[in-house]
Amino acid sequence: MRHIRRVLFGLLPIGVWFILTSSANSQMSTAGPRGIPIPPPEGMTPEVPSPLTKEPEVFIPLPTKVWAQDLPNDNGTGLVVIFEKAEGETEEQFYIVLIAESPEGPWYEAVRFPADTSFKDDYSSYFPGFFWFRKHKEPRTWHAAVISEVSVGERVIPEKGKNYYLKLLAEKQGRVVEYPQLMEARTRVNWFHTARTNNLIFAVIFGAVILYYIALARKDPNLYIRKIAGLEAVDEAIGRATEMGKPILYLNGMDPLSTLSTLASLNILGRVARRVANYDSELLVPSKDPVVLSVAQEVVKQGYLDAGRPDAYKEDNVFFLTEDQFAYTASVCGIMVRDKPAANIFMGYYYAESLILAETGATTGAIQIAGTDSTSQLPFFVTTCDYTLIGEELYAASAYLAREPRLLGSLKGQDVGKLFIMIVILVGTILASVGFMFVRDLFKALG
Amino acid sequence: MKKFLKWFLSLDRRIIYALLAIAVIVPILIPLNVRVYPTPEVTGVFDTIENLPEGSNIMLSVDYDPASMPELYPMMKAIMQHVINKRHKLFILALWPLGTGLVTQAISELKEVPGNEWWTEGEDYVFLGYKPGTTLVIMGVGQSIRDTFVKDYTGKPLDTMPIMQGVDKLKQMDYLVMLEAGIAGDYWIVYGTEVHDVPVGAGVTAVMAPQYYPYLQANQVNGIIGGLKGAAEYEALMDFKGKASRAMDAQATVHSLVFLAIILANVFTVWLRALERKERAGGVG
Amino acid sequence: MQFLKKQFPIVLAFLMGMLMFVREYVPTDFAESVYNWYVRWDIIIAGFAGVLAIISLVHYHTTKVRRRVPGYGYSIITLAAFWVMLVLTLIFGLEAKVEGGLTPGQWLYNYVFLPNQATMFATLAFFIASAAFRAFRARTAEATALLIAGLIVMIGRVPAGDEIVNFFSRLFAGNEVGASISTFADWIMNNPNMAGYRGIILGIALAQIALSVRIIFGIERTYLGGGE
Repeated sequence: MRHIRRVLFGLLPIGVWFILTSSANSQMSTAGPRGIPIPPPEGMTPEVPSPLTKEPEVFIPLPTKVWAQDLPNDNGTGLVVIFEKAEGETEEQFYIVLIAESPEGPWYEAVRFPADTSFKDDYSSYFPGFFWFRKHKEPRTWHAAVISEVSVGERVIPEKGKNYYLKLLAEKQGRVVEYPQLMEARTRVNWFHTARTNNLIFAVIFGAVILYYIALARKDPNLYIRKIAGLEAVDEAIGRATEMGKPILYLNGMDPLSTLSTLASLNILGRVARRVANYDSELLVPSKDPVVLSVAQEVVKQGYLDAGRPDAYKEDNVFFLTEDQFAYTASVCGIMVRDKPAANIFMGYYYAESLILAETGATTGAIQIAGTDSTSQLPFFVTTCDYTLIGEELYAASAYLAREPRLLGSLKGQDVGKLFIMIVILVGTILASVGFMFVRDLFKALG
Repeated sequence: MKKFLKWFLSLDRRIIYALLAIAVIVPILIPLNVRVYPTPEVTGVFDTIENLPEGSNIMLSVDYDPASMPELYPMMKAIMQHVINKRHKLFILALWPLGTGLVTQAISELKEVPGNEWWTEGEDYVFLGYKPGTTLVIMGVGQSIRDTFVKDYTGKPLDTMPIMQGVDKLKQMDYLVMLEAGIAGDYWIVYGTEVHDVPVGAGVTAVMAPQYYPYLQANQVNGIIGGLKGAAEYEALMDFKGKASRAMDAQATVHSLVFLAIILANVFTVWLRALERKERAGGVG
Repeated sequence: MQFLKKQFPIVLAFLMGMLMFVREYVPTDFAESVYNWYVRWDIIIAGFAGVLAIISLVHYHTTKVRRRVPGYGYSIITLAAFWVMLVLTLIFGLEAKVEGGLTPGQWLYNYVFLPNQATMFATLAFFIASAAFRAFRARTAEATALLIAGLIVMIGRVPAGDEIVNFFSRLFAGNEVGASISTFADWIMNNPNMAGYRGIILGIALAQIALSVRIIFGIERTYLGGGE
């Protein structure tokens, strides 16, 4: 162990160097030259067409209600000009917003769009409204000209917490008119993303429900939980392996530790390790991800320790194969064919290799138990394994095996959440079918 | 007869494997030229690229590695050729490290195709390369492509490239096509295209295609090219016969073989059961 | 030591979990820098763990070879491949170029690694065939429904399905019906398949939230290697 630690400390400066250089890199580059300074527009009224060309006069309608403000729900570097659709505007007409740091200029073009685009409704992330009233109320009436990242020489404006001056222009067939009023607005850092209000509310409620049931389970530990055949079979598989004197193969899936199914799988591994240690059989855990490997080693070691058999733990039985998907698969298949484990347990997230693993395992005659939330691979496991934990059962497994009331309580909370979703789907579908969209809008991801 | 039925129903898997190998190899040697009918899922992607005005910005996310190459590579080449034909601008990036090799291979192969001589790096396309941290890269591209990648795959600074002038954000893309063999596609939808309102088409392995139908129904993707069949449909829409179309022959024979095997196995099971019942009835009578 | 092993990880998991939760709802640069910071830590930890993994790999196979465990020949191949690739890429680099020649590392990637990967993937076809042969037996009513749906989707996924239908429709009705089977297969994928799929997905999402809550609040701690 000591030499490993020495290697790690040796690598520390490299890590520090990495942090320093990567943060330096991110500051180096600049944004593109989008806003090129343009001279201020000449007249405030429609240009008078030259009598020589005798073109018909172009009428350019201007909006009447216009204002500028900070862009909501952004990091403080955005402004927005909001104005009501002008009567008689056509798609040939363009709106242009100019920005300057002082009322005298210089002016830079910040945004330009045709009059039939860029409405407030198009920016649900910035203007969520009150979720259920947002839709169908004056749709596409208010234009929103979102201003962000205008290059001014070396700098990019708007910057945080500064005042800017804005002009609204309308252009049609080469002629430009200007909205008579100069606008001023200040950028502001926003600390709450209002478009995610619904998400936050549901997250908090659901989290609270789960915690409530966990607390409840502590008081009343006799919670009913339905039998999960796949997990009942774990004991059978371990027993069989002991009888045959063959090892048990346990895979944690193909994803890194940050994937929840990998964490769920490691939780189950801890429970399985404890039982295996009790039965005194061998547990093989080939790993694909280095971080998962380190955690798996700890988990298995602790499992043996909890069972009072620290002597039976062999570090070499939890080992690293490779990070490559199919090389890993080939290697695991090799272990299956050569060592003929009595039981193969596949937990976690799998990809295309699932069938290769499980079908090879089936040919060796092992008892196979799979558990995954990878829906596209579920059919393969169902056909080739003796037992398959489908989706949420994988997450319930650790609680199920532990039989610990607190963990079981969270399952109950989950069920309440499920009931809630079922009701919402049912009610929402009925309401949407008769034209009331507010339930749907309430659950919409806006930003 | 009973013996034969029993033998067939407990057929050694190696015989099935051998038949399968024959069913793959023969049509490759003797092409059958089966026709391909494009489905609406594939047409969705094709039509988007087809109907965008010339010079639109298309982003291609290459999120697979050589293991899925047989399915996704023909698809990638067909899409790239389509983009070239329509003279769109192409921004390629890889969220899987081993995808980069496939991109460079496709680029050099496409450059050899007659008619593609004008297609220039830095003007008509840029290959941004690979960056680790899938979701971070997606969010970064949403903020600024230049800040996220700084240089292209070969180390040229992005700032000086004509193709990058005036383009720096995901939302400036007119279309995103993602080629997926893993989970990156879900991240694109959650952290990228939903937030920045960019239409997406998904090219995925056949196994993953069912996973993308909910996205299609929720309009979170506007098309799915599923596996080799999808790639063949795309080639059919483009009116050219590439690797995928040629492979359709083999896929057709293999599917037919498996189809036949399943039907026979079921018919024989029922038959065997009937025979046994008759025998038992005869024994009693 | 006990604090470092037991309480500290739980406190850390709680703080980090809450931080990542809060940043979801904060649109400022703070949210982005928290994420960047997290990803950097992730990369650093993965780097260290990578070293551990390599030590594990070399140790595991060297031990096997030394003890002459049956099948140790495979370990020799693994070790040889590991060292060859490592040494060659350290000397010549793995810089990929769009034009120009291949480095030895790239050559190995293109002509050894790539075909090997494709081969492993291709074996799937064989496994699917034998699995399908066993799975699709009409033993019960449910299995029969699965069988029929499976057959339609399978044949609808290749041009042969439409060709067969068109052949018969030409024969009996005199005209072609186009992409009939594949459209039906798509309907199955789009409706009954998706209904079930969504149910599973919702269950998974809820279970993931529940697991996250258990981990953030330190109720589930098996993954830390700690018992109760």
